Amino acid sequence: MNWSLRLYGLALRLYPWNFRQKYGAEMLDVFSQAQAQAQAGTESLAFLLRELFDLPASILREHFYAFRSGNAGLHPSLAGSTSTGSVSLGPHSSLPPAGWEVLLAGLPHVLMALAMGLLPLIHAVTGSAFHPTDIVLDIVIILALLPAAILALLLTVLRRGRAWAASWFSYWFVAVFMAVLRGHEALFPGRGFEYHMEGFVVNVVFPLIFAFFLYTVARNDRLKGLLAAMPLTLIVWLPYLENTPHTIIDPVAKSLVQLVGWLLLGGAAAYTVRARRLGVSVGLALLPLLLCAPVIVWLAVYQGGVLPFSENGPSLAAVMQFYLRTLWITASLLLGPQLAVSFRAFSRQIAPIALWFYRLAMAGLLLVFIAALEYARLTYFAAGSDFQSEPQPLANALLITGCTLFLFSFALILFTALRQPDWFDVRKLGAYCLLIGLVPVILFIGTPVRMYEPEVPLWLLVPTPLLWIAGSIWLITAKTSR
Amino acid sequence: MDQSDILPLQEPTFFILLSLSHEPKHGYAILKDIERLSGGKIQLGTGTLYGALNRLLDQGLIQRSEKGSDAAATAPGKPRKAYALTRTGQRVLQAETARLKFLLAAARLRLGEEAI
Repeated sequence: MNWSLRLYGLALRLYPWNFRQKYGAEMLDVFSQAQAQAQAGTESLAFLLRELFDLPASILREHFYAFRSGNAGLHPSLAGSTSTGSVSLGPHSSLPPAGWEVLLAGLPHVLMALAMGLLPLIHAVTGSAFHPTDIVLDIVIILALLPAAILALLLTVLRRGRAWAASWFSYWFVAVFMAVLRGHEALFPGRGFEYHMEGFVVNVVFPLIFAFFLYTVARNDRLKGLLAAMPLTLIVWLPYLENTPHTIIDPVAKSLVQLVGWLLLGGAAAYTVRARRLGVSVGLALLPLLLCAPVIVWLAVYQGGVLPFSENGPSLAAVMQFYLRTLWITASLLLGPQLAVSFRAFSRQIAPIALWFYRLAMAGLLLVFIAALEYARLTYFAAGSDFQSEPQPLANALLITGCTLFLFSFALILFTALRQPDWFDVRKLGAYCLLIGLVPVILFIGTPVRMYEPEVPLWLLVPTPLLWIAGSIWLITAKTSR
Repeated sequence: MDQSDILPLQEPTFFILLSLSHEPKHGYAILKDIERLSGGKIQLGTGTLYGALNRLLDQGLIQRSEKGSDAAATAPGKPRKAYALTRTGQRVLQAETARLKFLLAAARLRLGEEAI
């Protein structure tokens, strides 16, 4: 096989999978014949140039056609949504992923481990002249992550739907968010985000878009939803380390915990793509929360004992207060979308009409979510002022309407379930109602400013997040059949 | 499928249907035939050809055919696949030809025979 035929064979891999399967061999055959016919120098060159110019347009056209016709041309290992919520991820198990796909799934987290953990660790241990200040780290992150993210984005477009790409989704989202913030700073220097519109966009609109994005990804494919949410299990904890001065916090411990955390996450993402087992993947994604997050909080609160956490004092009880609240938030970001998707499948199994009630319940939840974010925003900007005493009519109205809609919809689902001739698992329905209903509440009480408020008794705080996590995992991984 | 959804045909599509109007052909034969039919003005790339064939198969204008398959020319077990025009494809080709005739007649009427 000559080099041009070999290259053409490689280029064929850029076509949608279905198209390639149907016509790949024929195209290679036609190319080979046409090339054999065009043996003369200029004729052969003209033929190669024609094929070269034809390829990009043809590839894009086929991807567009596959997309428009509702057939994304995916590899069978990824085709077909698991949106039924069943944890038997059937279509995923037909073909194992390639090794490079597994590597790409873990790569963004490994790059974060290098940038956030390894480089500062080398500096802390060796005391080298190279000081990875925040700016240098920013540059390293940009240099390391940006080209890789762009490459992954291109590969995602060309090979749409690959599971590993979900590992990069949240980083892209954070990059867009950071770009908007930087753009705002550049356009309006000195104008902070306390201004109503900017504050609302940054603190309410962006989180809502992100939550919706996580839910949508999980609805289309639960494993991808899990992969997309994984980076949050560490990102949420980073402010603890950033807000504690470098002079107080132990730089070796700080670097080491980040290195281990991101590497664990990389391993979890790679395993998820490789093994496609939802239950084990959820467990692995929670590992950094259980192993690294307590160390992060201990470093910031107990060892650091400085702003913004000095008010509580460096006691183990204070560490537990911060750890458990943030653990609950992080777990809800990771498991919340999965819980909603799982409940969707559960509702659909009750009756078709229950799916509509589910949507109503989610609409109610969305209103509560907006209210929680709005409360958090107002509280945050009012810290140190008496703004908290001012009425918050919009947030109050949203909260009341949302709660009413949510509970009413659940009552309708329960009513529908009880009318079914077959026995139905009411316990599970109750568990869904309780656990999903708590998601916005968790986000509300867990915001940093709320942590200054009177401590929740540990006898209540310790079991509640742990029970919520255990219950959520049970619902997510349980069979949805009656 | 309504013909109005398909017409007017794109140039490569028209030539592919035209090429298959007499007998089934495989991919390479279609390419060469189109080149001949268009006097060398249209030289399709392999990707464009198979993209068009894919859409024509989806639209039911052509079908895979055993006739015209060239088993001997390729490796055993991988006979070269031929494509044939379906009845719908024939009707669409006739409708497109009639449309082009109508356009040509209108142009002749206004511009005169010698200008065309």
